[in-house]
Amino acid sequence: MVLLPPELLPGVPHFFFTLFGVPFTVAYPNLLVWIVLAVVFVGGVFLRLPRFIEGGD
Amino acid sequence: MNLTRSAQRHLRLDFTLEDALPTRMPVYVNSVVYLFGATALMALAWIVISGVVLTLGGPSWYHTNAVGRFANSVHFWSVQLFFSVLVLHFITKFFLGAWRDGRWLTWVVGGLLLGIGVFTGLTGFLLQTNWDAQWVATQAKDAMNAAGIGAFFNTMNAGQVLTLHVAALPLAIVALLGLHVFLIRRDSPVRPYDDRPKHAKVGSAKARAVAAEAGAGEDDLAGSGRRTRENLRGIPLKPYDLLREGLIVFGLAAAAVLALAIFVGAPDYPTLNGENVATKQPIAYLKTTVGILLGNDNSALGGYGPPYQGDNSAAQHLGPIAPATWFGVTRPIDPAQDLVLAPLARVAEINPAYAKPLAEFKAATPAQQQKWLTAYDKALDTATVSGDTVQLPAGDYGPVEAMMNGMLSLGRAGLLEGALAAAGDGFAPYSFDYTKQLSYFAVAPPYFDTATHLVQQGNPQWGIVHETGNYPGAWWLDAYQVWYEIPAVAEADNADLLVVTIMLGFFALLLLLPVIPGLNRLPHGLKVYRVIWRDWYRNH
Repeated sequence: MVLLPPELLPGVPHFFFTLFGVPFTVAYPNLLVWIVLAVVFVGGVFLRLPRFIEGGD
Repeated sequence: MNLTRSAQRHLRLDFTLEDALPTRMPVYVNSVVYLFGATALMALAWIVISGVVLTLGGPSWYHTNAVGRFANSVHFWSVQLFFSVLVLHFITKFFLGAWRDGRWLTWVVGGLLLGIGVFTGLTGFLLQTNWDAQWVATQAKDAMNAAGIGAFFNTMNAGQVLTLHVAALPLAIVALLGLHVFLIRRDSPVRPYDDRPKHAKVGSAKARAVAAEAGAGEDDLAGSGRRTRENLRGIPLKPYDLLREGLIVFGLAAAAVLALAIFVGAPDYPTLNGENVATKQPIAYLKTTVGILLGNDNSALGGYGPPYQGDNSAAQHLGPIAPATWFGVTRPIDPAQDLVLAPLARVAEINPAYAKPLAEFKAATPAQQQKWLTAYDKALDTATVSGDTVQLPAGDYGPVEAMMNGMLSLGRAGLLEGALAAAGDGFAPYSFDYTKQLSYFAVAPPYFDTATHLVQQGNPQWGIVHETGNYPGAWWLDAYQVWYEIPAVAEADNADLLVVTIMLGFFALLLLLPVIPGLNRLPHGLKVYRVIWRDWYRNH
């Protein structure tokens, strides 16, 4: 799929610019959230808890 | 049996101060994913804080008040953050198989919280009191009605939506959240899957580790309750400061939410009403009005069936099951009478010139009425607008042309919504039900034109999950929405009931995951937990 508005790539079938029937220009904000969530999840899986959360006695 | 004594005993044994506010955690709690749950809690705190500020002025004040607008923006982004981290929290707990060792109730309560949270979010979108709220209200009602819920819950009744959103649903969330947090703290974080061979060779490193664990940590767990001691037996602990974690996460949530509220704001596309449609799109206004009289399928609630009319054949059904019919007609609406003829009677009270055409129309036979209406409807296709008047080609429209002019005047005067409220028994103060006002243009060209203008897309099904402008909408409903993008579902007569049933099925699967053989072992097969707990598995 192409994450660009269709007008920037004339001649490419419109299907490639849609996400489940919704144009990417519309789906961008929601799609962006899902991408951010995926990145945060992967980051969270690999990052260790910062030590300062452990506090002192 | 003394219930109070039993409760005391249970709390003393199973829920100590160290459980409630732990200063130590098992060493495997060492990944950022463990912060998602706390972040959801803190985002919820910001939802409550901004929500309380919004209650000071009611649901509409934010449109015109700077403080209200800021509070609304904070509320909007808090909700976005809340659902973001909630989804991440859920995914994390799935990959960890967090329902193990008797924690199934924690999982089920979390699932219920997600469900109630989604419904609360829907009521929040309905309370935006802007165009998006109108759109969501008129679209979401179909799913509610198809599922039979519409008999009791009206997406277009602002009073009901408001009280649910600020009282009943938050109370349910607080109660379930309290239980969820209590169970989490009582039971301690779930242990890593034991992937070691069942019988380690005597003298091997694994065997030594097992032997060392057998007696480890007992002293550290002295202050903990029975459940924690059982669950963490043999697990080394490390220092932890739960309040410090909470404060840090609260601060991070505050920074994110406030920055987004200040620099990005929140969507607020103005409502569509009779006055702006009658003024800017008079032909569309008339087309809608005559369509209501004609009883067109695409007119406001025309031929809808329950809960508005008694025609059960119009209700969506799955085989013999039609939940919409179970509770009958709970909100009777006769579109032609309630949305056009009754308001027109009010117009005739003010301007007697409209009384005669109205009386003539009512006295005519249904066949004659249809003939006039059809001719007028067809003539609108070639009508032109000249100044304040709509020019129609010559034809026999009977009294309909005068009647429609009366309705157009009503709209242009900004009185359509008031006349709709006054129809029937007269205007009732404190009526918060806007079913008639919102339904009027719900599926008509003005609505679609606005939607098309906003998103260059006429598909009426996209709008529940997408916001106006470049803002994220209710993306957490994408899993619901995506079914409507399958042509076989979208084009089915019972599409709403079909999608609601599918999603209820998935929700039931989600809740029952801990006890479904095979599915409850899925996280073990996926092995994501080995990355999250990689430090633990390095030594075990």
